[in-house]
Amino acid sequence: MTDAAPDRPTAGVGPFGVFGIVAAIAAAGAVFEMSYYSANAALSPAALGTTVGIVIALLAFFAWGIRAPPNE
Amino acid sequence: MSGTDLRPSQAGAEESSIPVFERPPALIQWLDATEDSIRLSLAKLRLFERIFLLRRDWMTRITMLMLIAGLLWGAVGGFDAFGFQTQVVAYATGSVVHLSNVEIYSSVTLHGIRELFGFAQQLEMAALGFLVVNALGLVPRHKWTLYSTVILLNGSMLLIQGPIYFLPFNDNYFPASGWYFLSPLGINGQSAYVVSPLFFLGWLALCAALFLWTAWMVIHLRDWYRQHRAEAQGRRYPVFLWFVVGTLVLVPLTYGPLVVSTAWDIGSAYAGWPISALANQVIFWMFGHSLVYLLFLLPIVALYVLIPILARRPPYSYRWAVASAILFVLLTPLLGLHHLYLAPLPAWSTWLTMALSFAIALPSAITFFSVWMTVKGVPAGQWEWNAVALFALLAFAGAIFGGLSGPALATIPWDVDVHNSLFVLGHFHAMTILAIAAGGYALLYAVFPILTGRQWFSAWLARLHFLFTVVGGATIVVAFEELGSLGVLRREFILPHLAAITSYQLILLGGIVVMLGGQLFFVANGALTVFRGELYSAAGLSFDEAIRRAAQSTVPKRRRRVPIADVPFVRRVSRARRERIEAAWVGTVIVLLAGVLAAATPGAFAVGNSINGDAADPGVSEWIDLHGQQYYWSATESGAVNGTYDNALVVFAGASVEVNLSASGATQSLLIPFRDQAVVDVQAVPGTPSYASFTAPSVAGVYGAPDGEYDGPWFGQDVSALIVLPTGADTGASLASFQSNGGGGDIYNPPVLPAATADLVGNPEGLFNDSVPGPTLSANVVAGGGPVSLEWTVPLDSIGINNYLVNVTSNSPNAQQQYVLQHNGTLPYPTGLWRIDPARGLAPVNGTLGPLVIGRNVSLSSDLVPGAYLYGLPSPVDYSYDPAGDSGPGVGIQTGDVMGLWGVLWVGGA
Repeated sequence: MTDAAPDRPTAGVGPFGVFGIVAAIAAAGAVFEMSYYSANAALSPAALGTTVGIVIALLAFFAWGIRAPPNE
Repeated sequence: MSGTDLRPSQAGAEESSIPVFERPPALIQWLDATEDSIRLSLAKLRLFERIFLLRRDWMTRITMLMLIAGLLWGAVGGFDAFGFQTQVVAYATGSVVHLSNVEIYSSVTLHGIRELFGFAQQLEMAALGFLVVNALGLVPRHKWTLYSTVILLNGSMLLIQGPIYFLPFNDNYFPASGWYFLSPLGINGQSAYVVSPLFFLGWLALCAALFLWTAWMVIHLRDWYRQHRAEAQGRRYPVFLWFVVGTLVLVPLTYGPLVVSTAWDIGSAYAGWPISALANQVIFWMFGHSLVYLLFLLPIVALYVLIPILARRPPYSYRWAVASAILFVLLTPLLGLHHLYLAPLPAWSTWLTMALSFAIALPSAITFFSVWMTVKGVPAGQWEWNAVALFALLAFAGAIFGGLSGPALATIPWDVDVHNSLFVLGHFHAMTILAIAAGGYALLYAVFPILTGRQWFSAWLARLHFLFTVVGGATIVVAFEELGSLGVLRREFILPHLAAITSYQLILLGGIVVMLGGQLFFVANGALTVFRGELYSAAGLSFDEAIRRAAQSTVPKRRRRVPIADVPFVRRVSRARRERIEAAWVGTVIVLLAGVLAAATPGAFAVGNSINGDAADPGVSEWIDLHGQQYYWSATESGAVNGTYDNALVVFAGASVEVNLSASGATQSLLIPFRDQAVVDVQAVPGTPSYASFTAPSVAGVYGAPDGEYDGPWFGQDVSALIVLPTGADTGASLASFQSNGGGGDIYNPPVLPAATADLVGNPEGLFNDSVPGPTLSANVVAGGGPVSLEWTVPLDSIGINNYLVNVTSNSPNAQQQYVLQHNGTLPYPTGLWRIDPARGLAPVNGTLGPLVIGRNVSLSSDLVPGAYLYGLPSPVDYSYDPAGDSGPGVGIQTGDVMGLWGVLWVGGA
């Protein structure tokens, strides 16, 4: 067992930040892949509606997540 | 988990001291004794003893056996994908395609089956069994029930493969039906392509394995509850346990429909039961979609187990997590129809499925918000980025990346654009590789030391495994989505030679190589661990501490700074505050889902009504009865254009077209993947009519219309042409506008070549210039007509086992060539030129007709008036593929009618 070390000062990005950044990258990638369809006026206009809904949901995800109290 | 167990099982050694009425049945005693005999003999060899943990308790041994077998199927399934993709790249780059059509399509079929069931399902069963036993401190019972599960599941993989001929090796009877087999494809008496009955028996064995495993799990949970009833009441169960129970509820709801659809298929094939392909597919997809959520619960269990352990904090909101588990179970069985959006089902049913498919985004939204919030407030210095944490992070991100394309695919009008395209595979592989497999690996890294009693040997191998999985997996997913955006269909290897397609196919191959290579690091690390890893002991540790210690062994020693000891957790943020935020997030999602549903509803009903023929356009000027079979369409037209055509739809520019669709042998799909106007995408299911309504492009030309639904091993040749004739003053127009317009963005358009100089050469797939239909030849003549010449060659060396032009009863390519030589280098198929007369149909051009000549150049020359003509062999060839003469209902049958050596000659007026 690793000797119990005293709590290290919080240096660097914690897991909340890392998970958040990675989620943002993943979400951006997904939206980018969808954008081919949602930006093509000749294809189904429903693609734009769903894409917009997803983008708003993502903004809400990060907004609520940043605003939320910590898990303490 | 009990420690090492060096003794033979008690049934053998201490039998005499056990009262008779408490002894296991005689069969069990015999099985135990036999197992002990084999086990202890093998245990003398260090290789077997270490890898299979032969001296450990039986639960450990069986869990390890499942993990090893699962990884083996995962490796073989991965190699299947590699094999398939090498053939795709070979075709794309003009290299030799070594595998037969059947071998190619059985590769992708078995890839899906081995990865989904042999690997992922088995891994899930092993992991959940291990977790439940250890987390609840259970003493496992019913060893032989669990062994039977393993035997049935792995045996089912062998059965599904079909007959295996070793001498000589012949895998042309492996199933090439797709991992999801849509009735009536593969059914004797119903389909031109028939799979072995072993295929169906394998599926039933798989179902039996899952039912037995579920019963085993339920018995243990029941026993635990009975023993701890007083303690259990009012207790909060671990969050992950709710998802485990959810998994157990979903198993019968998932595999039950599979039993029904498979039994129906067997009855149709061998007992003459009547079949409704559409009803069977509806039942099948109750399994097909539930399956992926069943597997998706594995990474969710992983995240809810591992993240709180690594963070040393409980999940952010217990009640919302439980709510999401319940929602997953309630909604999952109801989504099957979203794989049948373009089938002739009532529009209200597909709309309802769309609404439910949107709704299931809710439990995912709750889960991933909760998981993220669980780590909020954890200082950087208290979090260790070991392999468990890295793969948990990947599962988290992968589920978001893949999951977000879920609502996209669930939107019915959007599905018209992407159905069966590789965009779907991008979504699917994001979920399976980046979420499900990643979550499985996170659990594996956490439990392997506990199982084996050895710490991970190499932290760097673990990191390399992670890096290669991320890079390889992401590359695969992005390549799929880019190819899908171009319009490339799934399961196609005969693709247009376009630079963008070839580039992404090469990138995809690279991603597969990186992904597979990365798994070698994991296997190497596992092998080194069991042989040379430092001893691992969980003595005196809690379950959580044991996991942390195991995870920490994937970090270089000098970087291990985070203590593994449990830390008392004192709640400082009230539940009310945390749940308020979760409620706000859930409320936001519900509002957005409702908004997206409202936006998509008109389009959803428009699509559904159109497919069911309820939205006829009064301005229709062209009616087409289109019947799909393996492997071509036959079209009977009336209206502005009349006549019957094979693999061609002939319309005037701008015409309003109504198509009545029917099919036999397999589900077909009329697909015209335009990019500058609405996509046409409608399924034709045997036994049920469907309809397509569209406006023909305003630019005359030849558009590609591949069959959008896999219908057997000659699926690649199943591509028809939408021939759009010029109207009025444009009569006699050239293809210049068509070419400058980019052909409507349809990647399946045949390339345009000048007739006089086109070098048409048949390839081993029986196609001109690797194109199906063949290249569109263009020529210009004066208004009254003029000379047009073209020529082609079908080389003798293009005749072989993969060329439908000659039936195959031998695996030797020379046998087919010898047949041609024995018949003076000709085959009795009518070739030549046929003029498309809109009033009557096809009219042969005198002086151009003759048999198909092999091995010699054929030159055609005739005075032609402006118009569209078909050249080559524009009628299907009756084909039978029977390598080694083994075909039959018990082995497999491969027949069909295939077209390929044909194209359009476009004669414009100068």
